[in-house]
Amino acid sequence: MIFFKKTHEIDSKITEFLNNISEAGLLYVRAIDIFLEKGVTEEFHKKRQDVSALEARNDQLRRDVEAQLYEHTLVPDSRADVLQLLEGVDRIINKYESNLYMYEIEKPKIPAGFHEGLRALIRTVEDCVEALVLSSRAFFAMNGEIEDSLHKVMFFEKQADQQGTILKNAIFDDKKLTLAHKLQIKSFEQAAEEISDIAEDVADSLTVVSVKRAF
Amino acid sequence: MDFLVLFFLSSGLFLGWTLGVNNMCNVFGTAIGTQMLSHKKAIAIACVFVVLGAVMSGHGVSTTLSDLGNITTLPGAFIVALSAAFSLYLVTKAGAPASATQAIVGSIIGWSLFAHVHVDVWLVGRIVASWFVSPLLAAVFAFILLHLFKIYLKARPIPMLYRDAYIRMGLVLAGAFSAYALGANNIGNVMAPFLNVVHLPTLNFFGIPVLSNSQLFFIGGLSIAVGISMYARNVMQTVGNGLLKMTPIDGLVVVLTYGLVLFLFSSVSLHHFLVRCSLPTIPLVPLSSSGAVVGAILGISLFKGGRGLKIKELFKIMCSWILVPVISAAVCFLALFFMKNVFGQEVF
Repeated sequence: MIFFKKTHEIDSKITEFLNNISEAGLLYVRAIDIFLEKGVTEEFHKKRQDVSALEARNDQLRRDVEAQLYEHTLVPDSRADVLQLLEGVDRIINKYESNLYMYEIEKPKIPAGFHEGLRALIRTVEDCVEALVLSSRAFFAMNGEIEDSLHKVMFFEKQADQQGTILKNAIFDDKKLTLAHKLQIKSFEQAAEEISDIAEDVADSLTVVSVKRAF
Repeated sequence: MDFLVLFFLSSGLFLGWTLGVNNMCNVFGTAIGTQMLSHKKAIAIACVFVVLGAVMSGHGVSTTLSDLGNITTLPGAFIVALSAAFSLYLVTKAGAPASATQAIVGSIIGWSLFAHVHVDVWLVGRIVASWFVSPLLAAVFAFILLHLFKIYLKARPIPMLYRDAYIRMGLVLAGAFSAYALGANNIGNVMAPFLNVVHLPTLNFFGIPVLSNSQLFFIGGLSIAVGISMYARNVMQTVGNGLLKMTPIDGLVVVLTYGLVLFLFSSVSLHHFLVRCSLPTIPLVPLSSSGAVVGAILGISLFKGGRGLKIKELFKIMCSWILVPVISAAVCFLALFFMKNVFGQEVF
């Protein structure tokens, strides 16, 4: 309908923005799998480029949505919440990109014994972000399902913390690695964990919004 | 039109202007206060529909008001309207939403006292009762409407952006309806004093005869529209968000309730329909339109458990309801004295 043209346009942009976050998460997991199997290959490079492209596209989408919400004074009572959510979620895709750049530049030598732990952590982080994407969709859909997915974000973040701690202990218990090497591997573990921390921060803001909505 | 008639009519037009300035906040205050509608769009819609309401449905309430005080001279009508407008202007300047109905009823009673004319106490009672009933009715309507909205949205959730678009569309439609109802209900306040003393020649509008009263309603409607376009921003803010922090849905409920309440007390067609169905009728009396808005806001506050209602602001508004008719009656009485004794005009 012509009356909803502007609304439909913004809705499509937000949907694309959230789809890109999900897609970047899948690419991130796949890229690290490739790195652990083969190192920095052309395939890894391609995945990193795809994530960068999604990050650039999302920056554009976020700016467009922000401008349109202000220009047409849309959702005045929730505008601040919407902008806070988009900016928070955008930080995640930035982090995906910067993490992959770290692998590409530093090319860390990660002993095979840590691969399984790192893979498990990366997958939990991706699950955490996916739960946040679902929460964000529920926030826009206003269908009352936001609490369920927010609960999952918290669950996966906690699990990522636990997996990170186990991995860190394993790294520093290793007798063969030098301290410098241990610190480098830890920085990669920590970089992954930071993504779920950002997801938790955004989820906390969404929890406040859902409480406000209840009134 | 005779220049003298136009001169004496100017006080009614001034009252219409003041009414427009003061009532724009009731029609679109919440919509603008919640940033759902731009000022320009709101003004354009209100101006068109207030004139339509005045011309098409204004005669029912106007008849009631002209029955209250059968003002027989043009200078008398001039003073009655001027006193009401002046009182309304004073209260508006103070930043409180006041009712033209209370101002004009006060003025007419002032005229009746001055002219030693019998005041129809039964009619005054009915009008005054409507001032109390309309806020209560508005509170009940707002409570029910908000409840229905919540039930519907829970059963069939509408995504945030589309909900925003629907509310905007609803505000435009409800605002137009409310402006129409305002024109229908409040044109009597502006033109009733002149209905028995100004007789304009019938005009021909594309084959349709336009009688004197309809012309007066049109002129009065235009004066309200001019007032609307110069509305008082401070009053708009008081009603928009001053009484209660409102969401856009609350804003829509307020505008819809306001229109419904005013329409119920103005619609001659509804009155005839109820008579035909042998149902109890709703009196066609001019309402305190700001009272309807305040009642609606009260209903919303009650729905939310009475939280966040600014009692001090509410008390300030209620005080103005009492003050306006008293001030208006006193001003009218004094002005009639001067008009009669200083300017030598016959005021009754």
